[in-house]
Amino acid sequence: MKRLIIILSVGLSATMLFGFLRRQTAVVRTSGSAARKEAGGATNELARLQAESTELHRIVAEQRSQQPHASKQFQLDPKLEDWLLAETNAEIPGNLVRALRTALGLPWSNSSDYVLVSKATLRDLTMPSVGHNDKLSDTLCAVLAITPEERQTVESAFARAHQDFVAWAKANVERQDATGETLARYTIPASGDLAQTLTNNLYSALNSALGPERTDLLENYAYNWLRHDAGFLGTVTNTLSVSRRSSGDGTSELYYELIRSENSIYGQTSESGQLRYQSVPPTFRDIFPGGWQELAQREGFVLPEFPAQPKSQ
Amino acid sequence: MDERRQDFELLRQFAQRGDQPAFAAVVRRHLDLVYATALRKVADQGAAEEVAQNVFAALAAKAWQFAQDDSLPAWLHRTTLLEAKTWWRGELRRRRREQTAAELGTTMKTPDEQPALRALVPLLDEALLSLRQKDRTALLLRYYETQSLREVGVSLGVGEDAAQKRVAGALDQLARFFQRRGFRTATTAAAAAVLQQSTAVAPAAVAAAVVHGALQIAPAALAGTTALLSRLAGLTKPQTALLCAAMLTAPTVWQWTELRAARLVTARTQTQADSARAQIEIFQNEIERLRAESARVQAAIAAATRAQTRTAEAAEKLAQLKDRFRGLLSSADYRWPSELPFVRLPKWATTNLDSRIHVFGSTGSLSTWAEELLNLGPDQKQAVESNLAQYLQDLDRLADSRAYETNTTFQVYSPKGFTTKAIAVPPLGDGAEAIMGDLMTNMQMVLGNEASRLVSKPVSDRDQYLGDALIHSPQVFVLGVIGAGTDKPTFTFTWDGHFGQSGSPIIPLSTELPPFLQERFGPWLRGMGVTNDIFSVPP
Repeated sequence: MKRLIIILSVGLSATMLFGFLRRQTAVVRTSGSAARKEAGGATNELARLQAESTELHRIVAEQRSQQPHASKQFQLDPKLEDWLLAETNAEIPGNLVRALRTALGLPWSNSSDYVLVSKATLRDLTMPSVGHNDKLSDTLCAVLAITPEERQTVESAFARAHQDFVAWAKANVERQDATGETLARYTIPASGDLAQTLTNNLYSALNSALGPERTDLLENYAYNWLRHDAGFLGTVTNTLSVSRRSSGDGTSELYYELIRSENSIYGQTSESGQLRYQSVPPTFRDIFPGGWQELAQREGFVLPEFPAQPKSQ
Repeated sequence: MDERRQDFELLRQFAQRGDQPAFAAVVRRHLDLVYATALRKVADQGAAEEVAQNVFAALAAKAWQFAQDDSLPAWLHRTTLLEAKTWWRGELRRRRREQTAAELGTTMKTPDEQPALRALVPLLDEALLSLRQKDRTALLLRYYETQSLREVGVSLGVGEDAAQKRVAGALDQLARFFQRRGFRTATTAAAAAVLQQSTAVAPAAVAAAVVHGALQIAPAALAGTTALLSRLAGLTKPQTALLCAAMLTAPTVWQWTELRAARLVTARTQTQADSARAQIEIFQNEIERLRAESARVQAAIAAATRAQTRTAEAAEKLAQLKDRFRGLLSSADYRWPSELPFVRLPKWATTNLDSRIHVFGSTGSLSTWAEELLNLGPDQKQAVESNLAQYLQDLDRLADSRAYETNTTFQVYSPKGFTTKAIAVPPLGDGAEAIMGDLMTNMQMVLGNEASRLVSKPVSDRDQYLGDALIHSPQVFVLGVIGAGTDKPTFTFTWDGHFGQSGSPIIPLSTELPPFLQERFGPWLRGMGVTNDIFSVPP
């Protein structure tokens, strides 16, 4: 009986152990099944990703093959490109002129009788512009493309301004008495009203004939006329003085000096020279149409005999 | 076949097939042991017979439980004692009388001549029960079933000598038991004598009655689960151990193997899943990188396409402008182009153009405006500038070799207070003519007539230092300075009667002087404390 109990106990224990192991096995198999499912899913996902990766490699390779193709293009300076694509091309910054000229070609050696120049560079140029006779030079007309009709209008405007200034200067010129070395001193005083009127009239006539762009350039080119011939149209005080200076060898020489008083626009300028070499400055030429001789006679000093003809400036 | 094996076989035949002769044989083999024991306990032949009948009935009922190596005499002896005790309880209740052991003792048929041995008899069964089963079995077989030592050895599975030693040892233990109970004189021989004297032979009729009574009570032949249990119960110890081991190990090992296999499979699958996950991560990173790369390349392509489009549009616009400018250059009805950044100039007019910046500088490099007008290619520009530089160097070297300082400054104007220095240069003559001729020739070769006139204009201009005036007439260059030691020195510079910028502070000089003049005026100015480098930076 005891043996039977032992056998049954062992059997029961074996059954329990078996059951335990079976449950463990079931758990492991369930876990294994889940892992298989997961592995299966992962394998599928992996296959999908591999395919996607392959496709992406292909796409990137294709894109890369396109990329150099895209960059093999005609190149322009990006700033010049910006300028070209702007709405208006009426003006060009100075630093792009060379790039544009290079891009355009059109060298001096082309068959044309003309060359191109930028408006920006035009502002830096000087040229014979308005003469003492208030006439425009052919060069100026060629540079600013001034037509014969425009030329007539512009010259009339310059002549009118000059005449008005001369008339005012004749009426208002002041004479100072001689002192020390100074033999003569004449002053055309500044007049704000006159300057405003003459300047407005002149530039309004120029503007209506040539437009603002060419008027601006012409004002620049006509600086010498404005200074020498028109006395800055009354904007500054022009003082002409003649003096006698002794040299170290005991001889003396006559000198003139023209001083234009300081002005907010033009500053103070002066010019001077020996009477023997220079003629009367244009600002005073209409007041002393007889030149140094007339001035000497008025002031009562004697001009020496000049060894050579004065150079014209 | 040994006694024990015979008992087992007989009992199995009886249990499995209801073989009554087999059971009767078992009864006959052990009836004396049971009867003697019962008689010793109940002291009445009828009662002993009843007890014996009950004992064998119990044997018949539990016959299937016996195993091969079970000791049937030991079991029968113990069961007889229990049945005797049971009988006594029933008997006492039934008779409601008390009888002392002494009275019972008088009924025992023990020899009068051995009173010492008679005192040991009541303790005999207790003493037998105190022995180990094998020792007890050995004594029961030797004395109650009157087996020889050899037969006892066979029954116990040992040799005769071992059986003898076991019997002797068991007797010795019995003796010590009696001695512990106060029978100091009890010896091994006394124990053996008690055993021999306590035997009894059951009457022949008792055997038949016991068999009959036992079989009346005993169940029919075993079947089904009981039979199986019977078979299990009949296993020997090694068989049982083997069976237990088999029962324990076979399913366990099998299931453990299954578990291990499942674990291996799971682990392998898990590894595969882990590997796949790792690869997924790698691919995901790769895909992410590729997507970023693709986006970058795409953006670059888009940018390149935009740039391409822009460039194409700009090229188109440039082409339009080029056409427009070509038209401008050839137009008979030219008007000032307000909408364009360029105007056209007649080539003849360019020779009348000038600038505050000379056509070329003291090193021969062309000014920006001259470059723009000429629009030279790189080779042409290099050739022009090289020729100009050579011309300037040659002429400067010539002027330098002829120049001298003079104090004859009466013909030039020097404002009051100015310190002056005058450098005179006589006409440079034929040597300079040759240098200028070379330049003109080279310029015409490189640029042609019209363009060379523009570039060479300063050379023949009387207002240029290194030009026609220097070649054909004597020159005096006068530099005046006032306030040399101050922060703002004032300079005048006159040249050949061309009165300069007197009255205006000019730092540095607005005029770019040629090297031969800089070398002469520079040390002189520095000697007076003028630290400004007045020659190197044009305004």
